[in-house]
Amino acid sequence: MVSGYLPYLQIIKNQVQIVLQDFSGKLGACILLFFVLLALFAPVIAPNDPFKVYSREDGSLAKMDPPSSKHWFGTTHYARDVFNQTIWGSRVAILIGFLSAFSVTLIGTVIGLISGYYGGKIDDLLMRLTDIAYGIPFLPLCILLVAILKPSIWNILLAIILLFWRTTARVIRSQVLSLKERPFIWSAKATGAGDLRILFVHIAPNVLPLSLLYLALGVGWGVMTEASLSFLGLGDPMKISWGGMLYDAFQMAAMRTAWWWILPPGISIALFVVSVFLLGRSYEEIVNPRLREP
Amino acid sequence: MRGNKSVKVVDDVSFTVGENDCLGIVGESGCGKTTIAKAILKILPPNGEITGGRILFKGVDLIPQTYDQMRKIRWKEISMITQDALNSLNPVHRVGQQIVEAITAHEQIGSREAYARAEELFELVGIERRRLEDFPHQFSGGMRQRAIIAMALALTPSLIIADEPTTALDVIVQDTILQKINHLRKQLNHAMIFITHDVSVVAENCDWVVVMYAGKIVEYGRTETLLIQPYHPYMLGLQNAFPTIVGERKGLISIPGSPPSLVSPPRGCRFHERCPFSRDRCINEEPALLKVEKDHLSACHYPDRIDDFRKLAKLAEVWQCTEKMG
Amino acid sequence: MISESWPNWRKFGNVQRRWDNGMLIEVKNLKKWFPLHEGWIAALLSKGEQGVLKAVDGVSFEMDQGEVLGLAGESGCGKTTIGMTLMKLYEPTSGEILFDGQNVVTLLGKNLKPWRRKAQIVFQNPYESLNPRFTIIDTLMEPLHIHQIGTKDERTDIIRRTLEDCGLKPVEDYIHKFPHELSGGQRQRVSIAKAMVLKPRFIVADEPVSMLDVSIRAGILKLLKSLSQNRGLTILYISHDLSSMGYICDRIAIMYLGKIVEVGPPQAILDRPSHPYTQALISAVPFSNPSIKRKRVNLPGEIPNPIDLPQGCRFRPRCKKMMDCCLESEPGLTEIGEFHSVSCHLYL
Repeated sequence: MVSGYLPYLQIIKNQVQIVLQDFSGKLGACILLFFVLLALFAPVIAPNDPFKVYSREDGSLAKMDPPSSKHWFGTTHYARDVFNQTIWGSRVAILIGFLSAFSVTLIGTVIGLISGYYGGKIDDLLMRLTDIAYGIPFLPLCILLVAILKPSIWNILLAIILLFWRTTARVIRSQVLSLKERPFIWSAKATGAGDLRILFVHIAPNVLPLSLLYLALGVGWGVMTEASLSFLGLGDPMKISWGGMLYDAFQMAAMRTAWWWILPPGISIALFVVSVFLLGRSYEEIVNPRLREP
Repeated sequence: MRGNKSVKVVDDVSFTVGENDCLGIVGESGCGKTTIAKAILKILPPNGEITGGRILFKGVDLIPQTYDQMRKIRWKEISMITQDALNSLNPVHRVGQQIVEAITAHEQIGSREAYARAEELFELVGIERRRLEDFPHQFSGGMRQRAIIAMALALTPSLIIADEPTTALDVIVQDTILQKINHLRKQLNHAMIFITHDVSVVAENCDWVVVMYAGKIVEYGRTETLLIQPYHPYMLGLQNAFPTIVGERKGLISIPGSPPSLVSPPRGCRFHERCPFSRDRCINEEPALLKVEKDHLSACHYPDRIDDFRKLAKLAEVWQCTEKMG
Repeated sequence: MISESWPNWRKFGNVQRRWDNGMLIEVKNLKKWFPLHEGWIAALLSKGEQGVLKAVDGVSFEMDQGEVLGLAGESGCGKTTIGMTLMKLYEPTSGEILFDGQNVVTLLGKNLKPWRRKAQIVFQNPYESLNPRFTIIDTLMEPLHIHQIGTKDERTDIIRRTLEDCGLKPVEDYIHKFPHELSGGQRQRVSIAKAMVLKPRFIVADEPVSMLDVSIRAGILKLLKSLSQNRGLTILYISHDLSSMGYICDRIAIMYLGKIVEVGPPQAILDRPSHPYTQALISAVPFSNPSIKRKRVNLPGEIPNPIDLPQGCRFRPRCKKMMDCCLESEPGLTEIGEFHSVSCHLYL
């Protein structure tokens, strides 16, 4: 350790092991893994384009067909295969979920570390920035971005990243504030360790477990946010996402009739989010007392 | 108890406390002294259990008592002074209110009467009456301890258990509080069990002393004889470790090693690993607590060699017998 | 009555300085004040001057190479603050700290780092002084890495020898363990080793044994004493336990409310204290021998609020020998014997 590589990988490995000890942790991880594999192997499982339009045997468009052997989950109003769409929709979910969670946690942790450690004017500035992030309402910002830029998944990602780091920043900062006063940090200062060293060798490893927790929760939030935005019509029309599917169904007033169109994306969103929350829950039970131990 | 393993924190401990006596229980961390205090009041933590023996209070065994029966005894008959007053006082309630609550919870008297008694108690311990209206954080450390003592005396118990009551206090404040405690004991005639790691506190305040090590009693007797002429090697070692502020200042001698883990205590005498005088018998056979003089018991196999021990214990080389460092 | 634990060159009445080029450390009128942040409403309503906690309020002393100076006092007297300020972990408010002639107060940033090799600190809490995620060898490797000392092999060598010198033998039993696998006394030895691995000339030991079991304290104190005697290490030993000071200190300084009230060799301070506060403090220490009855000097009142200091001599409100001049001015430190100074109007 110490005079070279940082033990972050070791810590991540430890934390993953901790989570997997618990039943809800195992369950959450399984579901998440299932969706990741689904997203990765989408072209194999559902080789056809999700936008492909299908016809029935008699030549007419296969609109609003209930589930059958040809279309396992039935078809949409636009004669597209629901099964295909659900599988391909997982890609957007995984992409947005993980990318947004990772970015948000990274930004939030770094801001929290700097703000908590340095204090003074830097802390004031960063915390005021955080307050602004708390103050800006998310939905109007999205609408604004969509109006100015094109509606696309990258813009959704941008909106999430612009605002959602605020919670992680606050939490990590308070963690750092309490760690900063512990004797081993003073001891490192007395030895001659510079600020960067103290931040990344002594403090960061001890807040990393908390960051990982927020990473897990961030994935859930990311997916839910994307789904909500797509459901409201702010999503990317060029990509299939679960929220987008629900939007289409809603537009076609098919909520009550085409249950096969609604359930797959709905259940997928729910399952995905549940899995992430299960992971977070099993982790949080252990994270608090363990924050002080390796 | 942890999982399937159980740890015997206190193992076969017996002592008696007379009506107006003060008994001191002395030992280092992990020796089980606080557990004894909690066991008497039956306030052990959820994973603690009394697995055997009897606790006779005024002739009545406390162990089979039910929760309600214990409630009547707690505070009225036996009360407790803890180490850190902050743990006993609720920071969001005024101190006077808390004392009144303690009184009215155990006795059928009105709150006005209870308040009057609280005022008397404060006078007894030396705090101005008007401070009853303050919150705990407005009190200094010494005053908080006095407030705790007042609370412990509220129902004129027959026995007060003081668990490290002055450890967290400065030297001068400690002295004042101890004087007060002694004075009150002579005035009110109750019995006291004084738990501490500081031998000098016991020397000055207690009539009897119990020395504990790793869950067992190693020596038990009157303070004036035990502390001047101890019989157990552990006490001889402790005497070396407690420097005196006056008199000849010779070098300090420490006992090497550290107290054994209670999860798997050593066979035989629990002190044998650190004892410079241990022999084969000490490793295999647990010593019983035997009478060595009038009113003096010691758990050592070789009380007859005590004169040699006392001479040898004063030499630093003798204590460097074990390799493990503390 | 000469204590046998004094090094020869410091024997009372027979002074020989080991180094003739002055003192290792000279502290001149050191002050450390902490401003109190009140809310803006309170600030408006108050008289305008913001409250200040004068933790250390004008402290001057010197330490010779190889000396063990004890700093004693009750809580709130400022002893820990002095330790942290001397180590530049707190920035001094004013005053000078001369280390080998160089004023450390003005050192900043890059210039501070080389000085850190010469001055180290050992903290009170053995359970919090070591990074819980580092093994023992990692903990000791870090100072060497920061100061770029030696090659990797040389570093391992240095670490082994230091651990052995601090009593952790055999080294193999400790070197790859984590702090939570060691006892409190062992952890404190690791903290001392961590300080010693840089071969400093000065160590601040801030209550190094207060949180350890009584039977283990002597071992740690003996270690500190032997390091001082064998390596000429200067130690500032901060504690509230006066009895232990008689054993390892060459001189003892007593602090009250941010100032030193008396400083002198153990014989003077412990056997014949001169300042009324010192007299009260010494008389309050209990004896472990029940046959000796001690004479108490009962001190009225309590330590006043350090934010609201008394006028004139700080000890005046509780002093039984108070005179008129005590209200007017604060007494300075006056020498009343060999190496023995008191800050009291009785001796001016």
